[in-house]
Amino acid sequence: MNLRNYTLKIWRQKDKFSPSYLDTIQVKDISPDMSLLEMLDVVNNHLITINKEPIAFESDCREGICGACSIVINGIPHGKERGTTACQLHMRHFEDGETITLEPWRAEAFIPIKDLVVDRTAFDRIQQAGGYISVNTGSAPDAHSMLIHKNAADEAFDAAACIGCGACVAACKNASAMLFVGAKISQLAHLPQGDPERKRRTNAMVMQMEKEGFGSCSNTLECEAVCPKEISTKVIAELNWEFIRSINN
Amino acid sequence: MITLIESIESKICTLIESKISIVGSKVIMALTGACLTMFILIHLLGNMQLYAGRDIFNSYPELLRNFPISLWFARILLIFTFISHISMAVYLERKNKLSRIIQYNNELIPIGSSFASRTMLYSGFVIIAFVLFHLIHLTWKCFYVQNPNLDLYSLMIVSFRNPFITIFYILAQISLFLHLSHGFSSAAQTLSLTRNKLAKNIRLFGFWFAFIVTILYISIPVSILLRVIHD
Ligand code: HEM
Ligand code: FES
Repeated sequence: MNLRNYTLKIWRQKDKFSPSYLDTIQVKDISPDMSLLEMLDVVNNHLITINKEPIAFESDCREGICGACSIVINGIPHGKERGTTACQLHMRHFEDGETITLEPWRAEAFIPIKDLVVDRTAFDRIQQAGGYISVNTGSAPDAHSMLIHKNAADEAFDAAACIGCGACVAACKNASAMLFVGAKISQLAHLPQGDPERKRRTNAMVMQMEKEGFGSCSNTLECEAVCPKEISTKVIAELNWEFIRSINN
Repeated sequence: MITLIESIESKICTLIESKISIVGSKVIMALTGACLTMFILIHLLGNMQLYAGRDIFNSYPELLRNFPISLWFARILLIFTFISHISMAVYLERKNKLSRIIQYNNELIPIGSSFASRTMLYSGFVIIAFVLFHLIHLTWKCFYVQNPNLDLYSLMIVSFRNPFITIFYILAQISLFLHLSHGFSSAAQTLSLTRNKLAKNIRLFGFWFAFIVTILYISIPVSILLRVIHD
């Protein structure tokens, strides 16, 4: 197998109070079948053996469903392959000898923790502000007690594909979270279960989004291009609609 | 004095934040943008009368002046929408800059956005500069105070025989094209008219709409410069 060599330029930052710098690391003998994260594992093993600080990065499922991995790769969140997360990006997509720049998501609402890891709890707080439905507890309702049109179910499901990774924010020139918030509002707006609280929900989530310091939407469509789940900016139109509807609330 | 202005400003900002938020502010941009686009269309229809000859073109401003109340109403509405549009643009731009203070080391590589969408503020500023120049040039006729008897038709001919003025007008129209080509579909998205399958078509329509409007506007100074329209 042809093993490959790369030059990594990695954003290093000890903690949120420390200045950041770009660290240049040469890596050798990388299999093209490794994912980007596996390559970083190899680099970290090496850094530990030579008594250097390993690179902090986030990952969990490593199969593109959790949204933990969050790296801007050569200026594009999750890298240039469409519809994939950083953990699904394989080294065969990089030329032998290529320089690869790795940076964390940058936004004032995402506070740096260390190296490539940022604090994304701003998203959780937006969800907590209204991204839920209130139901009575008790035994689970019958599966078909509430009929839902296939189209509505499909649209809700498309929006629910959002894994909350934050690539939309990372890619947006305004660091806007409208694609994320749009997806979270849209997944409930299409369903009868989401109906009773829709106005309050939209208002609360939009206000929280602004309070967290995310920017406004300029409709550049950069977010939908980098979204690993290919969520359409239609959800932003839906968010706008829900917001306009909630004004007389 | 400055502290007074600052305190008024911060009060207005808090009011906007608590009542209409960044989403509502964008809705105001879209509504005012749509009004301005309507104006652009009506103004274009007026200008196109240049091709109908001197008499018809010269009678157009007189026609407008016959309805002074509606004329002033339209003017005030126009100034109001223009100022609201610009204030919201500056307000949002300032917020958006604050949402990413520390930039990336490598600039982000755009893979989904158009050049026009990323440069709305700049094309907007060129439009302001143009509007001011345009008013000085053809409304207040500041360059032509020596011959006050020039009718509008002759004024157009004299002006656009000057290649510098013509080039400036063309450049300004190109930035209007950039602004509208994104602005049209952007406003549709903000006003949530793109919740259906039509989004792609609206984008395409917006582009061609802006293109045709721009070509028609540009055709006027170019026709005069190339002597297609003459005395
Ligand atoms: C005849 C003049 C103008 C027309 C027809 C016009 C039209 C529009 C339209 C339709 C939009 C889309 C609204 C939306 O995205 O929801 C827009 C956006 C915008 N306009 Fe204008 N506009 C004009 C002048 C200006 C001026 C003078 C500025 C001054 C700076 C400006 C700055 C902007 C900006 C920055 C945006 C984008 C806002 C954002 O991305 O969040 N425009 N314009
Ligand atoms: S690690 Fe779960 S999506 Fe990448």
